[in-house]
Amino acid sequence: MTALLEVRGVKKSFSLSSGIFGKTTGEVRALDDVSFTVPAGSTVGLVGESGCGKSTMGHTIMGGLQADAGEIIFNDPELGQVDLVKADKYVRHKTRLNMQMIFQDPNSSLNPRMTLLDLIGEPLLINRVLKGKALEDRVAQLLEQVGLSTRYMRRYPHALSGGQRQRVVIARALALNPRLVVADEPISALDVSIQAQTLNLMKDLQAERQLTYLFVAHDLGVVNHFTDTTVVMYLGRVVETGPTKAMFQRPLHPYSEALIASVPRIGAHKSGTKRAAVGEVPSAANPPSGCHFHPRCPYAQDICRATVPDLRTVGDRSVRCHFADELNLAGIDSPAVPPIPSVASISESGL
Amino acid sequence: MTGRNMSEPLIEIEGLVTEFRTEGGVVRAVNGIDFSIPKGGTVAVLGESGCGKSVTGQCLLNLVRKPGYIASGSIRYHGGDKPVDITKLKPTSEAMRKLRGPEIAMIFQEPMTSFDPLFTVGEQIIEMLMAHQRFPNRREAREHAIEMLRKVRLPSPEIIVDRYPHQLSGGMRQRVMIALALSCGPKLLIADEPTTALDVTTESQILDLLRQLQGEMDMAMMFITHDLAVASEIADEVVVMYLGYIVERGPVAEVLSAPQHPYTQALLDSIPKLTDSASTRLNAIQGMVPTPDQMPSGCPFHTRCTKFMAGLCDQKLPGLYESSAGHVARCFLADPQFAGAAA
Amino acid sequence: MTDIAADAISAAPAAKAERTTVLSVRQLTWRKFLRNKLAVVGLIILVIMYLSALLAGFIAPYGDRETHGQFARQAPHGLNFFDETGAFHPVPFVYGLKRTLDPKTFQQVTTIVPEQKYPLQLFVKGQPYSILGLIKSDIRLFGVEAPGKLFIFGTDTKGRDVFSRILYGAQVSLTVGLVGVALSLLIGVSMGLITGYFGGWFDNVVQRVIEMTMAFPQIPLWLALAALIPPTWSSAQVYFAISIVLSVLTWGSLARQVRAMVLSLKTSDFVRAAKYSNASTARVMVKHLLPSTMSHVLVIATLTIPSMILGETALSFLGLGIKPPMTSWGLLLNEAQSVQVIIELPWLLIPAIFVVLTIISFNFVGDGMRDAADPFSR
Repeated sequence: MTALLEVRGVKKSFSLSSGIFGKTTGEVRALDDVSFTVPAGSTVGLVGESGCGKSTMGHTIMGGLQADAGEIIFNDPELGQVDLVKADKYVRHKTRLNMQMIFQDPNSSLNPRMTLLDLIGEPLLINRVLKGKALEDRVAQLLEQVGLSTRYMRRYPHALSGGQRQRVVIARALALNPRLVVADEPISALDVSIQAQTLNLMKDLQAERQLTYLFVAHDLGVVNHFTDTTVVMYLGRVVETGPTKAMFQRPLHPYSEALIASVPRIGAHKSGTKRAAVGEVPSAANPPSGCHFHPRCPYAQDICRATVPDLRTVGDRSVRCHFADELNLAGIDSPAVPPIPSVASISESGL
Repeated sequence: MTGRNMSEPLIEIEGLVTEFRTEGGVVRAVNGIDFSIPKGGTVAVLGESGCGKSVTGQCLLNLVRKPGYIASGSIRYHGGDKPVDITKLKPTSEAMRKLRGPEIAMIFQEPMTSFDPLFTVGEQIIEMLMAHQRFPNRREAREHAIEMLRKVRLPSPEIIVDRYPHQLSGGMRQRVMIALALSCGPKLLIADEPTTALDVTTESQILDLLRQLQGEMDMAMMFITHDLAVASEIADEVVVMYLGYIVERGPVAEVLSAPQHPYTQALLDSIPKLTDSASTRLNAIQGMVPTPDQMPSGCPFHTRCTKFMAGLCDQKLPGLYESSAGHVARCFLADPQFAGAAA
Repeated sequence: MTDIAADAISAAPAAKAERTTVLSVRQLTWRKFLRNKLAVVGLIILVIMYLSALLAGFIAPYGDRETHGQFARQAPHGLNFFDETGAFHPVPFVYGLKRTLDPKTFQQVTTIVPEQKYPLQLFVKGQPYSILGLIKSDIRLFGVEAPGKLFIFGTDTKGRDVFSRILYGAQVSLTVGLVGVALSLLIGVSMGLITGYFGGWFDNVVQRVIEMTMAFPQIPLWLALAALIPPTWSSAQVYFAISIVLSVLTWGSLARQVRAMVLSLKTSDFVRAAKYSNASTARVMVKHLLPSTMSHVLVIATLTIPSMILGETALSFLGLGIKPPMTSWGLLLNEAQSVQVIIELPWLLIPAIFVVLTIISFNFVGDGMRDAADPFSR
C-alpha cells in the first residue's frame, strides 16, 4: 500500500495574548513534531483526550490552519506528491478536490438556511464540476448512496433528524469524489442507535469508493472497530502508532494502556478500582517537562521528567516512551489488571 | 451491596405520566412508568435522547420545566419519617424545598450551569449548607465544605475552596459539583449524564468516585445515561426507556447479558466493543427514533423492530412480562403465555 | 415479510411528517411571529398606516396645501348620526358652518348652522392628486358636498385640514425612517461583514470611527448636520439629506453587531466546510455569512426605524428637518410649539398620537421578530 498522506514533523503553535494591546504572553504547542502515515485505502484513527491536538491536526491537513513547520505530503492523483504545508493556492484548491471533511456536529456544519440540494451541491457548483439538471441528478444520486430519500432534496436540515443530517454531511463530503476523508468525531454527536448505522454507512462507502479515512475520535471502542492503524496523541505529541489490533492487544505506551483501561465495558460491573491514569490532562499552555505524560504515569522515572523520549520504531509500530521495551502493559484481553509494577521492580530490571 | 436489604425502597415511582403542551397538542414525554430505587442501591435509567429519562429525573425533584407538567402517577419518597408523594407537593413549597438538596440532590452533564460564576466554589457550598441550616456559623460550614472537597478526592481542598468555577478543569468542576450535591448528605443522588462531557480517563475516575462515595455515605443513586457500558459499570439495576415507556427493567447483569426486549438486544448488538474481533459491519438498528408527536401505535418500538409481528405489535401495547425475578420486558415475545401459544 | 409490513407502517407517519416538516426557515419564522399577538396587532396597524400614507391623496378629503381661509383654527367637528331632533340618519352628516365676527372680542366665531346638513358621500370630486406620480385622479374616498366642510381633526392656523395633512405628512415621516434604515443597513452590514471577516488595520480604523460617532450626543450632531443642508435645496433633496443624517448615527451599531456575529460565524463548521470546498471569500460572505446575520439584522433594523422616525420628528419640530411646503408629522407638531397654541388649538397635537402609535407598533413588531428570528429555538 502506498501512502496517500504522510505527515512529517508537523508543528503548530497558537500564541496566547492578553491585555488590551494583545501582548503575547505565551504559546500553546498544539502540534509538536507530529508524524504519521495514512496508507491509501485504509482507515487511520487519531485518538486522544480533548486538547491533545487531534482536531487541530485534521484542520491543518484540510488547510484551515497553517502548520508552522514540517511537511504534509499528499499523493494527489493529478499533481503527484505535493507538500500541503508549502502549497500555493492553486495546489490547495486542486488537492481539496481529493480531500474532504466530515464534521462532528451536523447541526453546526450544515448551513440552516440552505436546502439539501444547495448543501450537497455546493462543492460541485463551486468547483464548476456540474450545474443545473446534472447537478440535481448527482445530488439525488448522492442522497441515495447515503440512504436518504431524494424527496428530501429541497428540504432544510432542520426537518431532518440528527442521524439524517450527518448523512447529509457525508454526502457533501463525497460529492467531489475525494480520495481522503478526514472524519472529525463523526458519530459522537449522534444517538447510540444511530451511531452504528452511520459507521456502517461509512464502511460501505469506503468499500464502494476505495476511500481512505483519517478518523479523529476519542471513543476507543469505535476506533478499535473501525480503524486499521491507530495514532495516539497526548498534548500535541504522538505517543504511539501501530496497527490497531496489535496496539489494543498490547499497548506499548503507558498512556495507551490507560486509555484502553478507562473505557467503560459491559460486564465489567463494579470491577473495583481499575488502573486508569491518575489526574487529568495538564494545560497545554504549560505542559510538564520531559515526557508530557510523566505526572500521570505509574511507571515514571527520573529520566521521564528530564528528557523528552523520541518516537522510536518498534517493529511495525512506533512509541514515544523511554521504557517501551521493558514495560509489559495490559491491553483489552486482560480484564484482570495486573498489579502495577512497583518503581523498584522496574529499576531492578536493568535500569 | 452485600448484607443490605435491597427490597426496601427509597423511592417508588408508580404510573408516572409527564406531558408537554405543544402547538401540535399534548405530547407525552413519560408514559406511565413504574420503578423503585432501593435504599443505598443504584438504578441506571438508560435510553437515547428524547426517551424521557431526563424528564423522569426532573420529576423526582418536581422540577419539570414549563410547558411540561406531571399529569398523573405518584412518586413516593420513603426517606423521611413517613412517606411523601412528591407529585402532590407544590414545586415551590417549603416541603419540596426541604427535600431538594438535603434529601434528593442532582448533578448534571455540564457543571458550569449549576454554578454561579461570580462566587467561589466554597461560598456556594457554604451558602447551600447555611440555607439548610446544617451549621451554626459560616466558619464551621467552611470546614465542612473543605471536608467535602477532600471527600471528592480533590487535591489541596483548602486552596480549591477559594477558587472560582472557571478556574477549574472540567473534571475538577464535576468533582466540585458532586461535593456541592452531597454536602447536605442526601439519601438519593440523581446523576444526569454526569460523565458524558468528560474524557474517558476522567470519566472512569468520576465513576469510581461516585461508587466509593455511595458506599461511604450510604446513598441511593439514579444514574441517567445513554451509555450501556457506563450503566453496566455503575448500576445494580437498569431501566431501559424508549419513547417515554419502560421497555425493560431488571438487575444489570441479567438485562445486559440476557436482554429480553428487542430494543435492548439491538442496542447491545450495535455498539462496537473493545473485545470485538475485526468485524466489518455492526448490527445497526434501522430507522430513527420517532419524534414524540408521531408516537407509533401499539408497541413504541415496532417501527424499528426486527421481530415485528404485523397485526399485533402495531395494534396493542404489550404489558411488562416477567422473565425472571425482577426482570421484566415490554414485549409480546417475553410473555410466557404468548411464547407457549406460538410454540 | 415483517420488513414489508414495517415499511407500510412507517410510511403512514412519514406521510404525515411530509406535510408538517417541509417548511422553510421563512415559513417557520412567520409561524412563530404569528404566535405573538401584540406583534401581529402592531403589524396590522403599520400596514394600515403605510397603505394610508401611500393612498393619502385618495383617502384625505382635501389636498395638503388646500387652505380654507375662513375656517382657520376650526375645532374638529365630527360626523353625526342623530340630528338636533334626535332623528336617526343612516348616512352620517355634518352641519354647515358659519363664520361670524364676535362684535365684543373681535374674534372669529364659528357657529353651526343646524338647517344645513351635508351627508357624507363616497367618491366625491375634490382637488386633483396623484399616487406615486402614476395614477392621477380627482376622486377622493369621502367628503361632503360644497359648500359643506369636513374637518375630522380640525384645521390649523392657516385653515388647512389637519386630518389630510397627517396623511400627507405620513408619506414623509413613515418613509424617511425606512430610507434611513436602508442606508444604514447598506453601510452597516457591508462594513460589519468586511471588518469582521478580515480584521486587521481597516477593522481597527472603522471601530474607532464608530466609537467616535457613538460618543457624540445624538441630537446636537443631528442638528449640526441638518444645519449643513443648504436652504436652497428642493424638498426632495432635503428629504434625502435628512435620511442620510439619520443613518449616520445608526450604521455604526449595526456594523458592530454584524461584525460580532461574523466573528463567531467565520470559525463555525459550516463556513469551514464551504472553505474546504474551495469556496471563495465572496461566496462565503454572500452565501453563508450574510444570510445567517440577516434575521438578526432585520430585527435591529425594525427596532431602529422608530428612533429614526422620532429623529425626523425632532429635527422637523426644531425647524431643521423637512421644510414647507413638504409636510411631515414633525413639521405639523412644529406648529404646536407654544403653550398659547396648545391651549387654544389642542387638536394640533393629534399628529403626536400617530407618532406614538407608529413607534409602539414598530417596537411590537421588532420584539415579535426578535422572538421569531431563531425559528429553531423553543
